[in-house]
Amino acid sequence: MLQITCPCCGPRDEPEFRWGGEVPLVRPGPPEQVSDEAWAEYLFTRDNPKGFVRERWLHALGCRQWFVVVRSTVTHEIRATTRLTDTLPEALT
Amino acid sequence: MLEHQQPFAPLIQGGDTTFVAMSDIQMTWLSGWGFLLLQSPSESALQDALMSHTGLRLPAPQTVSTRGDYALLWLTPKEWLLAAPASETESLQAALTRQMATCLAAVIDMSDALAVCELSGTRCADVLMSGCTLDLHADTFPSGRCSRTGLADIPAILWNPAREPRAVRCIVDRSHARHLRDWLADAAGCPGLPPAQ
Repeated sequence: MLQITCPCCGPRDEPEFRWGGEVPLVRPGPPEQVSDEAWAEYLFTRDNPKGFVRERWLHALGCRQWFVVVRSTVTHEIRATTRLTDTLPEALT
Repeated sequence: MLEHQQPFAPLIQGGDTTFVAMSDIQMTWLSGWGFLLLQSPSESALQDALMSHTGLRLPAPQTVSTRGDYALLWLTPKEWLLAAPASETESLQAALTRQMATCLAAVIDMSDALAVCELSGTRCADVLMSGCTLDLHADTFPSGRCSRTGLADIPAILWNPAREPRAVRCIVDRSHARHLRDWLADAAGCPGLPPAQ
């Protein structure tokens, strides 16, 4: 089980959280000018790298805030967690 | 024996309320409380409104501030739960709404939505920890601490109201109250728990 440090609540166990996918994920727009390929890219294509990724997590059973986690997809090691409004040091990404 | 009092008679009507369980644990449903959910990004305005009507200060994250019959629980960075006597909830809601009229804020009466169960006794933390991932020992969950977490597969706000006597209050959705009652009764009698001191 992962132990994730929520920026608001501190370390909590994984069942309290919900995974929210990779960040940054920028919605293309305006909609009428976006091609089908670009929409498909936005909706379905993910980098899925081996190693550290930036992800969104929701502390669903705690403070209900979304935040950013830098997690290794190989070892599950968590390097950092920050609020969505904070910028993450480049070295951690 | 786990003793059980039920002031919320309609809530948990029927079923056996006497449990064969281990000693030193008492479960009481606290009645007569009202709850206001306060949401606002304008902390200073909310602080002023609370100070003039209840004398409360906004608590630090994961803590509770209390004054007289009032308690204010931190829930999220912009959200607090005000516990007050049920008879005052309506007038407090009106007063806070009036004072917060010029800022973005919500003052919501949650009194009928929530139920509070107080588990007391030296082993109450052991029973609760069999269904929740927080460490509820007195040194890591001291008096004045509150945390929203999952308990017995339902969302719950846990609150340690005092150093002595040892007790933990569980604030849950009212519709989950009977489930919590049944789950606590099972958990209190679970043979895997540490023996009573």
